[in-house]
Amino acid sequence: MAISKPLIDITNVTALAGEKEILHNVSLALDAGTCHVLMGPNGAGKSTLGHVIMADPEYTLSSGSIAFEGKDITDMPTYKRALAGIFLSFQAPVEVPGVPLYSFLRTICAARPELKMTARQFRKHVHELADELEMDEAYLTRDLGVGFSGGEKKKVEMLQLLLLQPKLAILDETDSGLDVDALSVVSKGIDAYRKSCDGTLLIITHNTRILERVSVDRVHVMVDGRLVDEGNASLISRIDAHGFEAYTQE
Amino acid sequence: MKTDAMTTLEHVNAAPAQTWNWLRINERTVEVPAIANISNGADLQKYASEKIVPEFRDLLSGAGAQAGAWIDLAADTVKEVRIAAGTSQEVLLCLGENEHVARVFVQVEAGASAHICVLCFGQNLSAHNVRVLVEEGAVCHYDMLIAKNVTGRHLESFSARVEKDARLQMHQYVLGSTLSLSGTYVELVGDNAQLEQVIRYMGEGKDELDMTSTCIHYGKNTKSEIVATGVLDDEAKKVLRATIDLSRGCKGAEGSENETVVCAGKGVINKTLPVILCSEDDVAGNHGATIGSFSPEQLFYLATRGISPDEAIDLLKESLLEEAQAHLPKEAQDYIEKWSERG
Ligand SMILES: Nc1ncnc2c1ncn2[C@@H]1O[C@H](COP(=O)(O)OP(=O)(O)O)[C@@H](O)[C@H]1O
Ligand SMILES: [Mg+2]
Repeated sequence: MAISKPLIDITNVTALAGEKEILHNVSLALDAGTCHVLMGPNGAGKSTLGHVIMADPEYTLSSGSIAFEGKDITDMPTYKRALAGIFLSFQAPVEVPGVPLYSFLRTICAARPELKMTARQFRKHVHELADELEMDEAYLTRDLGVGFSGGEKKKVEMLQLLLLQPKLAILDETDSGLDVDALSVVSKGIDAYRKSCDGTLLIITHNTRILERVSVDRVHVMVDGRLVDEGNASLISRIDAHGFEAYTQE
Repeated sequence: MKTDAMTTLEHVNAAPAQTWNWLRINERTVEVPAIANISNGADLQKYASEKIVPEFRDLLSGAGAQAGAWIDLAADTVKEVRIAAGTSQEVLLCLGENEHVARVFVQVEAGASAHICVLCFGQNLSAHNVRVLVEEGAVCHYDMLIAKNVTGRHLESFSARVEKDARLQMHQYVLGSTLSLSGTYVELVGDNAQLEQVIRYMGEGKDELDMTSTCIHYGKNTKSEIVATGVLDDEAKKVLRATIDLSRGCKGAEGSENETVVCAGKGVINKTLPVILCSEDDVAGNHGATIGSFSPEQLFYLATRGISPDEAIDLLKESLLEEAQAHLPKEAQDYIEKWSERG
């Protein structure tokens, strides 16, 4: 019997920022259509893993490989990985002065032949999504991220998630500091994404509020750049209650 | 008249306060077809003076005296518009097709409002010299677009005198043209007069952009704001001279000028001469300039959405085009649409 390949297969990845080794021999495989949560104390390397999956030039791999849909993408640049169907939402999305949000959304859509739409369909679709996320449409004509609140920036990330419908969505939500509204935006976004396509999720968070509405298949724990534990959804409440002490005291 | 006779116009787009000549930034010359038998740029002024509507005689031309005189004499289109007190009117000019060189005088009477829009599509040489008197409490919008993919040269000259409580809003979009010369000169003579000037430019290939923007504050509590934003790619060359002159007596005046430019091409030459002149104590003047490209974080963010570093610059350029389109009045938008459909 043929065993189906995982959607993404990260094998023995060791990653450095400059001279500093941050991820040590990390292996992680996610099957298509599943939902994973990555947890771990601050500075564990969770965001780094997200960025490495997306080929952030900040980091270099000293060993290991990454395959997506059975194809080795270890040397593929970021934008090609994105077009192949990987999405990384940023904890703190950057600002791009000179580029209005609407133009930006149209460009990222136009880059994907599978999302071909007429200008009118696109307009309608974007307005529907903005509505669904309760985003003020005035933001569409403003420069990307410039003068947006934390919550508005999150909405823009979720809007893109729903617009692009990536095969794999990595949502980096590590830091707390999001207000209640922003949290519910994220959980709403995740919910809508799961409903709209058979996507795969890797959610980086401690916040159980974000996870309220999603059914989690697998939980992974990272400490000091290593994956140290894995389990089903019950691991979340265990970590919620006891923290990471069990992993950090050896 | 010999068709290939040329005249050299001197002191074009000169900065009011000049710097070292060797920097080659103070002013420039430009070659234009000679008019009749006048081959000396300085002589043009004598012949041009009779073309000037009397009320405008002591208002300088934005691009300089010789350039202004040449346009005045070469004009195949002349508009002399008086917008009566309390009324409003649009003045639209499309240059480069049937009309190429325009001489325009607009008098915006007290409390009136004007919307002047100049579109340039020329594949050869086109030019305009627009002079405006914005009288007490009047409002004037001036929009100028040199469309993308324009292969000709364009010479813009704009000047205005702004009286008490009057307002001038300028939006200049220099998006095409192999050589664009753009000189503007604004006097804020009345108390509380205001200037808001937005310059957006894009240079590609071997495009040459030469811009001068001068604002002189005479009235009390006058305000000026000059904001320039641009993208330069390939081997484009750009000079911007922006001067705010806070002259004696303009108590409480505020002037600011700011430029942000993204230099994408390796062969880009970008020069800026920002000057604040100050002969009054009780005023505020400031200038800033940011030269940048996308930061690594911005490029990575865009890449995570499928935009390559090369496409990131294109995105910036397209955004400029869209903004220009969206800003212009409906009639101008229709015209541009028709023009771009014809290819
Ligand atoms: N670009 C970088 N340069 C140097 N150190 C880095 C860089 N990125 C991350 N680190 C370090 O790697 C460790 C893991 O960081 P990060 O992945 O952000 O952790 P987490 O997201 O789990 O909180 C931290 O010690 C952090 O300081
Ligand atoms: Mg993090």
